[in-house]
Amino acid sequence: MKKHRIIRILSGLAASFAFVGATFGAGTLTPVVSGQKPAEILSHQVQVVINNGFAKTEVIQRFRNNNAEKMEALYSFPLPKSASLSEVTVQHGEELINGEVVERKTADRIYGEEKAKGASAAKAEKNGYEDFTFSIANLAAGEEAQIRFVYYQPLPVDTGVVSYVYPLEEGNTRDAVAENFWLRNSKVSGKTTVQIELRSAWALESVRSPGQNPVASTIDLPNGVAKLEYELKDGLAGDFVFHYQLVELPGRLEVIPYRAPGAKEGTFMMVLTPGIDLKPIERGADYVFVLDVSGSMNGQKIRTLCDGVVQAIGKMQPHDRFRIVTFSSDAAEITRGWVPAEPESVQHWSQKIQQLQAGGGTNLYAGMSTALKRVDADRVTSIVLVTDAVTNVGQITPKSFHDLLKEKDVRVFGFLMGNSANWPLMQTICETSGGFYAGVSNSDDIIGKILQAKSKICYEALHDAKIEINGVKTADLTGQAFKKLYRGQQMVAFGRYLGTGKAEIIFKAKLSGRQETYRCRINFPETDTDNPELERLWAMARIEQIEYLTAIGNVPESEKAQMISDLGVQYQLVTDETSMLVLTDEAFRTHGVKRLNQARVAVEHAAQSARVAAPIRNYRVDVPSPQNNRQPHSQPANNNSMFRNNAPRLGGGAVNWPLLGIALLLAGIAVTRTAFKKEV
Amino acid sequence: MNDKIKNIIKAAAVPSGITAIMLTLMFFPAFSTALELRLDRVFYLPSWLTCHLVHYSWRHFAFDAAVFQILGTVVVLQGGMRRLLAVCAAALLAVPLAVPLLSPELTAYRGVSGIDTALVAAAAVHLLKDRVLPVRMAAVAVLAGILLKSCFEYQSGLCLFAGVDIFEPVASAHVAGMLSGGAATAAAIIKLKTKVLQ
Repeated sequence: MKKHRIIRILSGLAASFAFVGATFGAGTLTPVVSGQKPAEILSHQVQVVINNGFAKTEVIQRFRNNNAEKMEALYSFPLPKSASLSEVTVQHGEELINGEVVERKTADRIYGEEKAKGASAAKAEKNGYEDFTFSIANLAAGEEAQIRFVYYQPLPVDTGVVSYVYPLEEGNTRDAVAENFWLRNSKVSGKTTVQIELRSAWALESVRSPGQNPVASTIDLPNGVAKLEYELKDGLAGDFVFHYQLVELPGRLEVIPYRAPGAKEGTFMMVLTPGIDLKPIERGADYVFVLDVSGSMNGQKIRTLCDGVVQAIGKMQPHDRFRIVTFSSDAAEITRGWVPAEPESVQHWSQKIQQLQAGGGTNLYAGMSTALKRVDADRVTSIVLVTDAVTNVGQITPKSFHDLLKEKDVRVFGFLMGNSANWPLMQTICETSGGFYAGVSNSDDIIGKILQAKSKICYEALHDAKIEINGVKTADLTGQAFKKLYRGQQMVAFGRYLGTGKAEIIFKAKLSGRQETYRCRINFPETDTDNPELERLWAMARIEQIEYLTAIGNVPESEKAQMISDLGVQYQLVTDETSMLVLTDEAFRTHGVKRLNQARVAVEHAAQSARVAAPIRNYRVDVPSPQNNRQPHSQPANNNSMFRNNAPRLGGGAVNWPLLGIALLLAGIAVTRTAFKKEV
Repeated sequence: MNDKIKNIIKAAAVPSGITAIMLTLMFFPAFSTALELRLDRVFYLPSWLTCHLVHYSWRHFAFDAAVFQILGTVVVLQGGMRRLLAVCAAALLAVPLAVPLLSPELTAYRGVSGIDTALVAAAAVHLLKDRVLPVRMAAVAVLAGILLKSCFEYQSGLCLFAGVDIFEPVASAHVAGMLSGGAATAAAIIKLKTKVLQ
């Protein structure tokens, strides 16, 4: 069976990823040349609240300067994907200072001035796709301080499972000069704890954290509630991963709105789970394994990767074909053409693979170019790309990869290794080809990754999937169109709505060449104050969209910076163009910094308190609302379900103003030309 | 009251009666459910007639009924009561046949809009024999517009200018209504001409 074959192939690959060795954990940084000891991390507490498709992560870390003089403490934290860093506070003794987002240059200048004055100050900045860095100035000798930061991130369901990763393990993707510059301390002398509070509107099947056992837990699966506490024995060395599985659910549409009282615009998050039967693919296929053998793969990484590919090839069927492309500073196809997966050739190539050595730079473009040669138009070809995507040789811009792949009929499935990996580039590669990518944490259940990938590769996909909204004016939508939507994937769209009232949501996609259209009605409310965090999530999604469009050449680089800066300041997000400046109230006044984040955080905290006190709200909208039920012509239950398997679909004629106009036109002509020529 | 007004009132009588029935049914939603065309019992023939009389919402009813009232009157003025009955009969058959065949994913169908489209086609086809060129051109434009709209809607699965309501617009009902209404009117005109020639 082909499905089993693919599972075996992916199993082998995944096994290789599982043994990729860790390098560093998140932690404090000190310049090697300074002669100072890194700040001691006394404790590290993480509180996670998962509610309605997004997670709030609050991190509280206590640390101490064990040097004889004052120091500037630096703390590095791998960047979680799509995370919007929204709050930073620092406690120096009795003094609590709060953060406001300003343009990066302004933050650097003010932070420098405050640091030079010996005042309390801190700064958080984002370093591309790699990490957040927090700088805390003027930490006195022997002083203890506490940093607290909060970030939000969307958590889509994939094949019924929601995965949350608290990234701690460094991805070893910094260049060698940077790594040599810093002395890193990722040891926590006290406790490292993670508290998870899960509030799901849907019943849960199970919860799990690979490699961890909770020290305390309260779990109510039918009501979708779970509270768990974990103590991480390895401190900050490895990621913390948490999964929860929902009971089997139908296709559905969920819309979470936010609109402050009297606001001109609202924000929404729309999550569409297609309820469409996708059939298994029975055709034969070709696989090109594109493997990163650059210097960062040296040591155990390259050996375990080779072992994994050998296992994967060994489990293919004789009528399958494969090619193996490796890349470092340049690319080479070690198979020199398609190889049928027959026992003799598998054995031969397995020996060759075991001899691979790592070294040199990373020329991903050369690897992809080589992989795209000799693609047979008569067979389905998939490229399995395993890399950290930190390309530094040859063509390195996302646009060059976009141009390379946009005309090719191949799907790229990317496995992005470790944290701080170049996910924007992997996103460009996979989205351009209509494939998908998955981050691979060393702490994760690899079997889970395999099963999720298998359910996508082995089944038909929806093509040109998109969501349209009629009836209420919307703007700045993100994530509403997918070239391909795979089995188990959700569409998570963010947008702004300018009007209010009834709207029709139309989901269109091609299945086996046939256009399918699904509809349902929703209501965009005048006011809904439950989820103010949505504004930041929308802004972050918009920033990622701008970055993607810039990467493929659709938005000029010159405009990108200003657009991101404007969004960052308005919605108080730490971006590549904006930083969080943490000062005393007086310092903010002195420097004329508006307290936009203070106001925003106050609204968010009030809403979070209200949510905790209220029952869990279900945002599914493709069922009759109570309002509809009160109308005299209410329909049977589920008449507003989006997908046909769920509920009745009611049809009627769409007579409207244009047809009424035509009727009046014909009536006018008839009255003048016909009415009195003929006796009625 | 002059003859013009009398003729129009007289022509509007039957469409008004049917509209009154549709209006009455709007106050009895339980009846509406019983009278709709259910695709799981498509051979229940009374529903082929009654499905046209029931609607999902007041908005649905208002537009459907307004167009029916206007064009029903027009068709009576153009061709007499027999013409109206012929067009309605053709659409009564064509729409319930077309919906299960071309839109099998639906569960139920309601509304007089299929007949409305038939009446548009009937009125326009009638005007094709007018002696004044701009009138004929207007008729051709209406027919072409409705045909293109219907074909686009059926092909794409979307309905143009559709407002937001609780049901899915069904393009196949429009196509069937237009073809049946146009054909019934053309047949009636040809029959009339043949009679005159004989």
